[in-house]
Amino acid sequence: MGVGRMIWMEILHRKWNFLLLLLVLGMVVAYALTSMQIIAAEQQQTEAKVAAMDDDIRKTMKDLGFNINILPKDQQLVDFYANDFADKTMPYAFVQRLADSEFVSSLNHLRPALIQKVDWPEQKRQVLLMGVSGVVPWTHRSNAKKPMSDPVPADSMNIGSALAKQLNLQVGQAVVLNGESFKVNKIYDPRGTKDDITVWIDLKRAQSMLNLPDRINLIQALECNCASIDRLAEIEKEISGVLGEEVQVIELSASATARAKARTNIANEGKIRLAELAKTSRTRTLWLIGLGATVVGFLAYFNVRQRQFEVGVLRAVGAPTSKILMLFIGKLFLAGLLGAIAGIAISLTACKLGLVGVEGISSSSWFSQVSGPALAAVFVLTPALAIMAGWVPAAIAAGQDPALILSEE
Amino acid sequence: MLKLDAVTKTYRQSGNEVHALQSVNLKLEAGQFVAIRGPSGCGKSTLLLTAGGLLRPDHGSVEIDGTSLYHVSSAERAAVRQEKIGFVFQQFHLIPYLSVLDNVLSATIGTKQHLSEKKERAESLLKQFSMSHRRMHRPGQLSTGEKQRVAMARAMLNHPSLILADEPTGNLDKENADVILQQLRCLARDGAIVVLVTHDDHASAAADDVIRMEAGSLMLE
Ligand SMILES: Nc1ncnc2c1ncn2[C@@H]1O[C@H](COP(=O)(O)OP(=O)(O)O)[C@@H](O)[C@H]1O
Ligand SMILES: [Mg+2]
Repeated sequence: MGVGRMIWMEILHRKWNFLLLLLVLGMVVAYALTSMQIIAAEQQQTEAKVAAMDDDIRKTMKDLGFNINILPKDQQLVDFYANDFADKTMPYAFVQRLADSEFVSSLNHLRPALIQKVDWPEQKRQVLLMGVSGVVPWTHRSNAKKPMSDPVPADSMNIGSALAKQLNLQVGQAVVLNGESFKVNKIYDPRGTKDDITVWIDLKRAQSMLNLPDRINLIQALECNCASIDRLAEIEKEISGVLGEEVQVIELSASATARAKARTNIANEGKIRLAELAKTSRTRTLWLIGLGATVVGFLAYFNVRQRQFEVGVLRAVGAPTSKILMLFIGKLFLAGLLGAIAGIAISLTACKLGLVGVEGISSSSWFSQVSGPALAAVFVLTPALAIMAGWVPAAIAAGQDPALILSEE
Repeated sequence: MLKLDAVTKTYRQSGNEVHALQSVNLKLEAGQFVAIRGPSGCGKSTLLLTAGGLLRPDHGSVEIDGTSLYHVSSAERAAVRQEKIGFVFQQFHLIPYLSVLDNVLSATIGTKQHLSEKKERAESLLKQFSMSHRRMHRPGQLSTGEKQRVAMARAMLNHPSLILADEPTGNLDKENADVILQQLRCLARDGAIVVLVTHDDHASAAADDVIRMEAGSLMLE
């Protein structure tokens, strides 16, 4: 007759005591593990949000692209902001002079444009017409392999989403603008800016349609890589070195900056929320461990009371104290092991059935969220918790005086 | 050899003192079979528990085969109980959730013997008591006579040199009592010391000597 068999027979005999032990330990383990799941899911969600923002910012940077606007010197900024385009113009040669210059180093991609708000009589609408050419290559530099945005083919137009939607235009459709025919080349996704009501056509055609040959009213420059913090001053200095005082420079980064700020905010808020979540679940887990330990202690004590008689008998037949202690400790150890398994099962089931109520938690992701060391810790700590909680009652049982019980008649 | 020397035990409970053993002296040699008789409450059970290493006396010493029981560690005392002492109680004291076989084997917890050896010994004892066919039964399924036979087998499992039987026949009919008494006789004949506590004439007649006990003291009859 070994201690193991004795433990097993007792467990079978007093099922409820053991099942309650399992349940209590299982709940503690399940809570701790599910908290880990929730935290991991929240973290993933925040990360996904930030990643989406990053993506968005990247797109924004690419679409807005240019973070410097170069305008004719005499352009009133009030009008520029009010109208969304410059009413003054400058010669196309300006952009070429910049591209030819050896002194301009902080500007990168140069893109000339001619923009005006025009009537589209055929569609009975006012639109922003933007004539664009491709990026003007640098004469003295090796140029970026891929242009930031394609020029619009001469026979085509690109259309902002709101406009395309309202006019019910489709890609490939033939349209007429001021008597000139175009083919719809591309319809952009919504951007939430005036881009959504803009029509892009080839610069040369725009110049001829607007009767402004060789004139432009905007040079966009992308990816200024300035050495100093005061980049606008640095760029102005470079440009005036080439073009004299004939242009003015404004920085066009508000949208991208706002998004970058939003992204940082989301990341920070996420971090704060995660830290709070981790703190509350840590506190609650600790409380629950305390509560669980208390209940386990009571259950162990109750078990000891129930077993006074058999302990007395075992001592009478010569079982050493150490073996009697083993009977109780072994049971607690087993309860801890099975409780850990029960806890994992409870947590898995709760996640699988969606009882947790947190997005992104599923049984399939469960194991990837719980690290190997964490699982190992669960299997070590749960029996340890059970044994510590039940130690005192077990020691009392092992040491109690059997004579009292055995002499009772 | 069992030797009790000036053993005194006083129970103290809520201010009351019960002098259960009053300077008891007793010396028994191998093969001796004694019955201890006396009225209820005179200290018989206390004497057996003290002699068996389960109840520390207030004064005096208990010696079994040269080992002074209460001057060794509790582990050593447990070892002496396991190797040398067999207890039999009036209430049988079987563990309710263990089978008959496991109850007998419970006397081997912590021993170094091979399980197969222990089992063989347990099975042969059950056979001797005509209990083989019930070895997988629970105590609850047995009659009182059968229960006491199982308890007897458990007490005998480790070949004890001292049998302490506390009114083992008190709950049995004559037939079943005879099985137990006969077995105690056999054990004494084979060299064990047998101490039988009883208040029954028929039972005490089985013993070689009868010792009277009264108010915590022994007196030869
Ligand atoms: N644990 C105990 N606490 C207090 N008094 C006890 C205890 N055990 C026995 N007694 C008392 O000691 C006396 C002797 O008891 P016991 O040895 O059981 O006598 P017997 O077995 O002869 O009936 C009785 O008066 C009994 O009430
Ligand atoms: Mg008694």
